[in-house]
Amino acid sequence: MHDHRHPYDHVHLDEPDAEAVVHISCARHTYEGGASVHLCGLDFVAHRGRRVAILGPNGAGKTTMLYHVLGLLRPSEGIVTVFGVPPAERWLEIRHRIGVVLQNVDEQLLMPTVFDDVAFGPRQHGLSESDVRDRVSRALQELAIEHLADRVPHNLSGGEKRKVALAGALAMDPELLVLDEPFEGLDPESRAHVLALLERLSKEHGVTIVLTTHDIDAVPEFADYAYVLAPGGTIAVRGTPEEVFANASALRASNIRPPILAELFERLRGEAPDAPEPVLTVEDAARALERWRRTASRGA
Amino acid sequence: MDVRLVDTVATSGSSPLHRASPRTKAAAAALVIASAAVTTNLFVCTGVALAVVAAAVLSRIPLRPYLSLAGYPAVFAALFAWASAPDALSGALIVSKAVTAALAVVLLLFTTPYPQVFASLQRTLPGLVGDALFMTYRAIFVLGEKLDDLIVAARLRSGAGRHPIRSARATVRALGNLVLYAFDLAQREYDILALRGYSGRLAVPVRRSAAPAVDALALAAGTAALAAALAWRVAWRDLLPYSWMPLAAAAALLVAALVVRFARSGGTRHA
Repeated sequence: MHDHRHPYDHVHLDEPDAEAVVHISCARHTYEGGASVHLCGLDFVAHRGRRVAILGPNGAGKTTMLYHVLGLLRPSEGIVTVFGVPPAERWLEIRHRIGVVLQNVDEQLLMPTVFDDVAFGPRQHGLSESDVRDRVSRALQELAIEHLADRVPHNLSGGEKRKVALAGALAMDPELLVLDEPFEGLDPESRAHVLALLERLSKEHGVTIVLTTHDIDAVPEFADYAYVLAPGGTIAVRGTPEEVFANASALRASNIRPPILAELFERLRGEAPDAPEPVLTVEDAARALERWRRTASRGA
Repeated sequence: MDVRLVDTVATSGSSPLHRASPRTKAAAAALVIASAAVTTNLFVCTGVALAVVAAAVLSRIPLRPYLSLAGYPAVFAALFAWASAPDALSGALIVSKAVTAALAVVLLLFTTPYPQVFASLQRTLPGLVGDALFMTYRAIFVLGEKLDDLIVAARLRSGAGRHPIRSARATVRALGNLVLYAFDLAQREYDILALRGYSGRLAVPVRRSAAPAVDALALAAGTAALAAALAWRVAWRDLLPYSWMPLAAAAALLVAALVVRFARSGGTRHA
């Protein structure tokens, strides 16, 4: 079999032996209208158990990248592998290991009740009805939506629909979760709940999570790694959220505004050179500001 | 057309017909359709239609959307009758046949969650056909909602308002967009099915009946409708003077069903 491994850039920075669950290298897709997305520059790699965010302006190719991962698009050149196989050619072999929530959840909800919709995937895979019930109950419980089980999905709010779609993905006990804009339409409490759930899935169950988002402030809370796409699909920046958001010029080139805390600390440093280094989470910011306040009061 | 209403009523309804076996209901609907196809007597056909409406009344489904959905085929049947029927009576029979069949199918959809309807059909149809029907059913409602949005958008952007010609132009433009959207939707729906595990045959567990007596009654009623249609077709010379009887019986049944329904709803309100 053809070895899809790229000679460089596929090794986990901290764990050289970590399995690369998703690997994209210079994949190109040309749409019927002639527009081409070339996912090149850096390689995209998502290692097992890691949470990876994909950022980029509208039309940069985030969804195209996810569609390649899901085997819905076949690259005209370059390499895309998921669990070591090209997904467009061997999707049937790997699909039971992958959970998906697409951006338009309305089209993803097919069944007349929430319970039946969450059960759709397990039933298609031929699981026994008792196993299906266990999985559905667990998935509904994980997302705290057991009370919606008998409701008609189309009557739910946007946030509730998104949770139902996510429950449908979780019911498959996936090893890889692919999420397109999962925080869209969620209220702050639900967003925090989903963030905590994703962290638990990745840390306790080793689930690899690949998601696209415009919710920049969620990235430091959520992601172990982030990739930034420039217009046209070039993978321009890769690193931890701290590394990515420190690269102001690349972010500007991709029309991405840094998280609000990063902007605040940049502004502070512009006005007071002894102000703390930028941090990205509220807890870190509180600690840094408290230290700065103490230092300043001692100096006075 | 509101898929949400049909889904809600079919899923959350608790009438005896809702609790009956989906397969039995599908079989009863097929018998009614067969009776509408076989009959050559307008009174018998209208009687069967009234009996189906009586069942809908007793099932406590919302009557206005039920009747308006079932009325769609009447428009096309009327056009067909106008073009081809030799006289008014034949034309009325054509329309009545179409409406009777539609009433039975829409009643089935209002009392049975649609995956259960298609799970029942899968037994008798090739897998691909059953699945295609399942997706076509969903697509019709999705496209209906999309068309409403497109017409509003086209009218607002063209400033058509109530002007009939501009409004017609806007509607045609919306229809054109809808065709393109439908192609796109078909691909997306297939992708979603594939992503969610579909591999050539939808797996839907068939729900068992929670009201066996209603199963028997529905089958008996469907059989009676077909028997009456056959009898009036075969022995029409002898039975023609008695054609009013099935119609009168069905009308009496409908009145009784309406009285029961309004008595119950009045009782509920007072309680």
